[in-house]
Amino acid sequence: MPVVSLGERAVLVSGQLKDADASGRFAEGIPLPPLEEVPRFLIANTHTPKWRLAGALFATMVSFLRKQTGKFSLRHMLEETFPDWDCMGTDLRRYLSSIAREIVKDLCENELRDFARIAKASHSPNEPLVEFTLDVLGQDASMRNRTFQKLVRLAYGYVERTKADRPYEPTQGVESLWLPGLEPE
Amino acid sequence: MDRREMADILEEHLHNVNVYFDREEKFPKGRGPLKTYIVEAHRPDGNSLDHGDAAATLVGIAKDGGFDVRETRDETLFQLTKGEVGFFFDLLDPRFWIVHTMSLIEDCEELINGFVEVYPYLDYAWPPSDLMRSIQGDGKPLGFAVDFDETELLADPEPEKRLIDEPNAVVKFRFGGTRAEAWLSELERFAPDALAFSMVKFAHEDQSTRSYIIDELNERGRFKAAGNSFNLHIQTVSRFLHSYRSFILEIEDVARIRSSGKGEGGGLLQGDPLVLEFPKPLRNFSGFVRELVSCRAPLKIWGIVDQVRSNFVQIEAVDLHTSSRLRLDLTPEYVRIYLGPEACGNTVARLLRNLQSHVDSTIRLNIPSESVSA
Repeated sequence: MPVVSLGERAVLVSGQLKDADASGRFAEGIPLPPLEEVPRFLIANTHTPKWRLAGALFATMVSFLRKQTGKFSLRHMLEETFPDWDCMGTDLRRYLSSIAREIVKDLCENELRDFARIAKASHSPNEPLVEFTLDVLGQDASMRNRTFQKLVRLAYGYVERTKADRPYEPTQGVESLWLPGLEPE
Repeated sequence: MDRREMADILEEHLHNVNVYFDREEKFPKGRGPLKTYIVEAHRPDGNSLDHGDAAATLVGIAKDGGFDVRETRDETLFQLTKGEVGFFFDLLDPRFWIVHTMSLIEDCEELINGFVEVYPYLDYAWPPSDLMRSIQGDGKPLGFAVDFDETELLADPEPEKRLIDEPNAVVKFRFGGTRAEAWLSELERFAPDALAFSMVKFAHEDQSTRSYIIDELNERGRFKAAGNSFNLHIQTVSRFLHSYRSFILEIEDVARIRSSGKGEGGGLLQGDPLVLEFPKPLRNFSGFVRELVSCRAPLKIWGIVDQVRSNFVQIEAVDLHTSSRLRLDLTPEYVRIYLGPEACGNTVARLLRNLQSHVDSTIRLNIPSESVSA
């Protein structure tokens, strides 16, 4: 049953359910799961910080790298990352486009410089296109696996430095592949 | 060569196998029982194949692998040979390829596994346990194999040691015979959550023509056949493929989170996340998360993990089979899967199958019947 609530319990104040048991239970109050465990259809709004979007956009870059086809526009990347792109208002789209442009440029110049670069669209020179330069499907299976594992490390490093608002330092890798608490026992 | 000739050759092979078996003789060199594989195929960029693409994809792969490729009078049927190994590739369905072979099983497995490893846009079929049992139930049950191993999806060696003392952490069992169902009900008493079927065996017969087939279906969609009727065998394969394809398409229809808009705002969001609940909490949450996003087979998922709480993570992920995007919410009690708009249902089937084989065999996928638009 869809329940809209801003608290930790849903309580029915008027008897709108015909079923007496259900009505009784709702009148007592139904405990709701923690907010972060509720299915998250919408993953961004105009207050979502850049570092929170960094992981999602990085994952989309990896998905495009594996696809290995031509060049991708920023818009294509946004549509792939945010399934609700077509449902968003103009302000949110503008906000996400601006952040994504920064992230993609930063990645192509730094963490993903061996994998991708920015190209200009001939029909629209101001619209950046991302072009992948690594033939990942041409690698043998174990090399390809190592490439993807390296991309995991780069992704964590990128999210960390974006969160800390640090510039890229080529020699500084992430200490561990795993976030605190998720390291091997 | 066309489909009819192929069917004649494979039926004759079934008869010959029976003769060798009756005489207790070895098969001719390089030959073995009839086997049929289901291979799920996409374009290298992860998109769907049409008939022309499928043929070009197969020919490209075969030539890369040093196979000799022969076209047939049927546009969607190809013969591949390499040394003593030969395959018939039937691409009538451009997404679900049916592959028949009479070659030695070890050689065939090596080559099919090699295809799936080298070309990530190919994958096995991953039938869940209940689908395998349902296919078995259409015929006369003749046996089964259970292969459950909780150590497989744990990246850390220490918990693996601790599992040795657990009664049902590793359960392997193979039984053949008409009393299979009776044995199974006994097993259910001892290891109800470890009955991950890795093989089901069953027979179909047609008394009017005195024809029969005994098929073994394994957890990666491979059939091994004995009997005297290729026709009955292909009917069994077709029934399985119909059920499996429906399962995959239903996942895609219901669970791809996509917008109905036209790119200008105001669209409706459609699709529901899928939830796989674990009947008992994961033994080693962090070990499982690590293995889940290790990029390795069999799960083949790339992911970046955001730890919300010690026992709750959100993952931005990529399925390395079709390179589609997905997101996962994971706790020791469940995984919630948000498929991207172009995602492949195989991602969910693969995850479900491996959870049944390595976490709890009673895990089931309940596909929501009605989607909620937001």
